[in-house]
Amino acid sequence: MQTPLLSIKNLRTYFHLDEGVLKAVDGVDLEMQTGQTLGIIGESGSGKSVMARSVMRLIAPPGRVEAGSQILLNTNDGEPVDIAQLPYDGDALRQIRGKSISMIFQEPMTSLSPVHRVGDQILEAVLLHVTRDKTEARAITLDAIQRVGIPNPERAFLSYPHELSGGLRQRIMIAMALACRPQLLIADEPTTALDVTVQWQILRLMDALRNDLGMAILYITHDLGVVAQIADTVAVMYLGQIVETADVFTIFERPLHPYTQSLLKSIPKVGAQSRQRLEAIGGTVPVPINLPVRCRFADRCQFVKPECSIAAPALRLVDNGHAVRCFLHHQEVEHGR
Amino acid sequence: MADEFLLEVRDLKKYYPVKKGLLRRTVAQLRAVDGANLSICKGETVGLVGESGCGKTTLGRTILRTHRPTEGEILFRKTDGAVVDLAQLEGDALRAVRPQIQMIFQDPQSSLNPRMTVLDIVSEPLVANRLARGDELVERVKFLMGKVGLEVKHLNRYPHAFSGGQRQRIGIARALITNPSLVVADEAVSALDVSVRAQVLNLLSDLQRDFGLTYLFISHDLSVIQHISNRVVVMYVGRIVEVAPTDSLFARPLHPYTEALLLSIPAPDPRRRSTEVFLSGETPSPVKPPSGCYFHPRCKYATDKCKVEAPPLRELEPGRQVACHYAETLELRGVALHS
Repeated sequence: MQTPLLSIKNLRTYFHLDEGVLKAVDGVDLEMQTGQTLGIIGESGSGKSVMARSVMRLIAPPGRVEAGSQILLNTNDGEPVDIAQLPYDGDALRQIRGKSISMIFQEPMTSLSPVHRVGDQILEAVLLHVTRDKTEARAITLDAIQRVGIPNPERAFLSYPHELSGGLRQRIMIAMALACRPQLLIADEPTTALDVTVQWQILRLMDALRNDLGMAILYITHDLGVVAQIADTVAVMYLGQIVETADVFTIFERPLHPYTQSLLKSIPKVGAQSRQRLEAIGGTVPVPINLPVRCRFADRCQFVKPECSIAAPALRLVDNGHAVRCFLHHQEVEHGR
Repeated sequence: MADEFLLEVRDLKKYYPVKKGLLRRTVAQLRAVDGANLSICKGETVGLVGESGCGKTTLGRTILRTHRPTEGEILFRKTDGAVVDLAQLEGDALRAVRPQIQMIFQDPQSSLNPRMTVLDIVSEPLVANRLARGDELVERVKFLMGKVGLEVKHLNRYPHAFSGGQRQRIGIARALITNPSLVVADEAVSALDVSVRAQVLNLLSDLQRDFGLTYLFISHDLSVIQHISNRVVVMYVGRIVEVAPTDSLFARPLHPYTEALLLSIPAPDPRRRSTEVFLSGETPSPVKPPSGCYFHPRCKYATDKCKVEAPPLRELEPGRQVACHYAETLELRGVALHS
């Protein structure tokens, strides 16, 4: 087994509020290999975005990546770096952001500066991380714009964000993220604001670029369809914790955690008979402040057992690469031996 | 369909002038809705689908008469059986019809006044239309709160105390309080999480059954449209390109744009992956649409005829209308049924 590109251990990101400590991410363990696409799926409030931002250390006070968290990145030049330990404003972190790890956000309009030409915005990152030579940097930028399938790169280079459509803006964001050839691309709901046909174009584009450039993608979304189309492995998050992780086929065909099962049942499936009733999950995602020690899904779970409200289950391996955080399946494994 | 229509839209147009320069001269027309024909029967749910900028929201709002149409008729059958043309109504006459057509908005965050209690919000249509007051009003609000699954004891709370799904329920209660016959739901579940979305979709079906509602359900999300609609209307750059019963539309689309839309939905099944790109290029601007069929620059089946001649929306089979010159001969792919 090769050393993972990214290895997250016991990541905890807490927000220290007046009302108490909001545990947005509470003990996440993850591993990612080069060239792999990991899909993180969860509803709003599950902590998936905070988790992704923690990897980039983009957490502002009152939020904090707690001591004891580990985010090990295997950079191209030798020693693994623990991003969680790097000083907040140091050069070391700046070297990783944008160079080793890039990020694409949901709303391309708010992530681009409205007063600079998009070409110059990409150029800035290239000049910072790749080369000091302006001509070379410009060539790299134009190549990046071309790669994301924008027909006229020279013209796009000179445009302002408002002159571009949503799909083109998201392509520019991807070009910017890829210009420095990152090892890891974090994509936080990059297609949620786009139309289906454009979303499909962007998904295919990201997949093709991953193959060409050999990078890993951490893909965050609430859309199960998108995950099924792009991910190799999937982690399901609920209230700051991973409740189930497995390869994409196992998640869709043999999900074990009740939350994963209900998520899959609650989506209207295209191609199914229309006007059938959906199996909705009762209740809503609670706010993770002052949660008692017990299974976090117990309130909404239809298979709840007495022990679920006394102790919190751990994320335990039940099969090769398939881990579940649920008492229902822990026992099966213990009895099965 | 043999049933009487509840709403019939005939050749509806809504243009916005594009103004430029010091004298604000009109230099062009933005054709948001460019000749729409549409009929909705009582008790059915019609899904209106299309991508951003296709005019689906403008069409919905013009039917509600929050926008004044540029041209065309909007025939609406009132509860007393009389048919009125909403496009021609003004002032008091229009106000008298309004309680019968209500709207559910997309964003439960911004469509509820944060300074009003749930009671005020839900009862406002009754107060504004002088339909009820005093105890009767409170009783009616309480009844609807129960119907949409909210607790009556929360009557005096403010919107911020509710979750997104509950807020959407408040919006639904407000829309139903006047006993409307037609409800226009514009992206009513798009802002909600998957699990909550399922709850609200189920609620909308229950309410339709209980109150005999008719929905015009506007959404960009085809899986939601498929789930809730009896019939689907597909729009592209201000024009209706296909109308069909839901199941036949998904199984066998007749317009190339519908085909591209359907195939672009990411299937929640990792065994059905595709690397094909079904639709390239950009949606044209409704200010300067292409000649002929608006879809021809992106259509892989387009011929020279499509560049010059705009295909009219015509009935190909009973209940199925399509605006494509080659609808009879094209073999288009739908989405296979699976359980």
